[in-house]
Amino acid sequence: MKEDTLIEVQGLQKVYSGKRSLFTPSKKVTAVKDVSFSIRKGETFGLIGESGSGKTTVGRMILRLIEPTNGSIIYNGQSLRDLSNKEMTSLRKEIQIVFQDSGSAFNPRKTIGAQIAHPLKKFGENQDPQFIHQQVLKMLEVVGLRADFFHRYPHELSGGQRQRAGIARALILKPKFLVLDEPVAALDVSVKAQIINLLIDLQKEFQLTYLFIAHNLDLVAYFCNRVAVLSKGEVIETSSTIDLFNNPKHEMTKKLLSSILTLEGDLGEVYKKRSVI
Amino acid sequence: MNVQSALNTESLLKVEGLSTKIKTPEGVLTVLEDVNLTIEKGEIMAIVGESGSGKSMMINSILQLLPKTLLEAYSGNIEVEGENLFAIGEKKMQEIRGKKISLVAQNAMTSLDPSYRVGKQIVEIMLEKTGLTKEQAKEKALNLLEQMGIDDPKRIFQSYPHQLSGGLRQRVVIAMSLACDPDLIIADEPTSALDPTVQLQVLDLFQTINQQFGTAILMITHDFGVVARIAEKVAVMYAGQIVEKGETADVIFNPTHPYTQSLIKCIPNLDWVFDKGAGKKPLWQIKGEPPNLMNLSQGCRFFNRCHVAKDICQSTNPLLKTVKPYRNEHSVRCVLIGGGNE
Repeated sequence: MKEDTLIEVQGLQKVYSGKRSLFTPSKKVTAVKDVSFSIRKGETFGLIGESGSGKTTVGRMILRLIEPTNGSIIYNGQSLRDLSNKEMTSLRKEIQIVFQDSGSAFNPRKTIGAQIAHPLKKFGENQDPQFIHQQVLKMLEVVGLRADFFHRYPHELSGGQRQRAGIARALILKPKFLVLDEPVAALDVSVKAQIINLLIDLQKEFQLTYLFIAHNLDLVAYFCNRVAVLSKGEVIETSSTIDLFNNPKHEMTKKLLSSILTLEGDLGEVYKKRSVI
Repeated sequence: MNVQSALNTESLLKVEGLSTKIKTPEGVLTVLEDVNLTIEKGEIMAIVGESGSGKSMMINSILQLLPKTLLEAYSGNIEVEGENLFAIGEKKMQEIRGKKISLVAQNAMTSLDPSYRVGKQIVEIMLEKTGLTKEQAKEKALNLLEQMGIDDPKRIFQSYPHQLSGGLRQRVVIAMSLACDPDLIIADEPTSALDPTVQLQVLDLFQTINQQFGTAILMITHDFGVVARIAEKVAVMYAGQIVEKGETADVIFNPTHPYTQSLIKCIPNLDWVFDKGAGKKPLWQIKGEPPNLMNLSQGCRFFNRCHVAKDICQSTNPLLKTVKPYRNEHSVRCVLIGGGNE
């Protein structure tokens, strides 16, 4: 493992065994076949692919929210799959996730403040209520929410505000690595840009490493240093963003790239003009 | 319709000075204000706006789908081929829905009943709205499915919605919307739930329908990429008003309202990827969030988020002004454009 690698995924696999009945053998579904990549410290690594390609499953397996069937996940020299539940729990402080649907990622019956405070109450060393309150207020400010959002309920927030709160909750334990599972897919165009800019600022401020799972390819091009393309549970191509866009090797990658709609027509046409493909 | 008006070259859909007010627990809310737009036969028009801009209220007003318990009042006019929709009554309105104007919703699953085979659902509309017999309807449904680019229409006809992928489901819904040969399809973000590759296929399908059947399409979207791909005309909505409209090329390459300019600048620029010397420019963002329609100030609704706002914008409610006249009119709702606010 190289010096600057933060997380390395080797031969990750997830097989669901389907329903078994008396007369038919169980039908196995392979969600993720064979996924390997490594993410360097401080970079934004993109994971793209069509729906059903296994992007989200990979993201969740890294957090061990879904238990992998096979393969290894090495985080900072530690094999995550060999950790006991207790050890994993303490490591969760360093690895956090921001979900796509901020509407269902929050408990509708608790205030935003209480939910951002929750990780601190569970994992934090300093359990002084005053301290926790201060930390939450500070984090609200960091993500650009006013202090009065502390006492609001999730339904009172717009989609963009809720996603900011989701980021605040993910950051409150000062993690090193964030899995961003389509964090802006459900947001309006103008709000999307706000959240991406916020994530870029936060990355600089807290030296974060991101795994960005997305199907908005234009944002991936903008946001990520390196990209892995997933198709049917396998990584078919990994390269730097610039190489991937200028020199896509796999047919599937080319297809994905040509589907980006730009103002001058789809990227396939733009490519043709630049005579790349 | 009388002979006289049939001979006139009337617009397919004409919305004039439409304002829609709805009742909410907090009081009456004006969700649409002074909306004007026309769609000619066979035209593809797009409406762009963020959530809360009134796009869906526009559809609900045109198809008169707002429940009486919610609706406070309409004002203005909506005409379909010269017939005033507010005057014709519910029975005739039923005929217009589906036969003249049909709807493709954002989420195909909401338009399909999970407990019936999709074929039956397409046939049912035809039996209800047209004089076709069961066999004719079935044949037409199979034909439509085939025209939607479905390889195996017979199998799809016999499938339940949950057995189909998102793209296939959307194709079925589009086939369904064509069942009674409408003159206009309103498509409410038909591709935003789909994969980019499938999105492209569905957009191309709409274009094919438009060319083959001459069906006009009103495409509701928030993506200027989609607009650039298929629409001839576009209207940009913000907080219940149209703030800019015109030919697609004019609006995209010469955006005049600060909001349109901002929306277009929010699309990530990919130059840095292709041109190694270009460098990454920071992503443009519009500060803040759309206003609450409940307490609007008297001035421009975009004032708080505008990057060029002046004092006058806070006090003057801008009117939609023509910046480029004649057939391909381009108009903008901004006090700072084209002199005073006469």
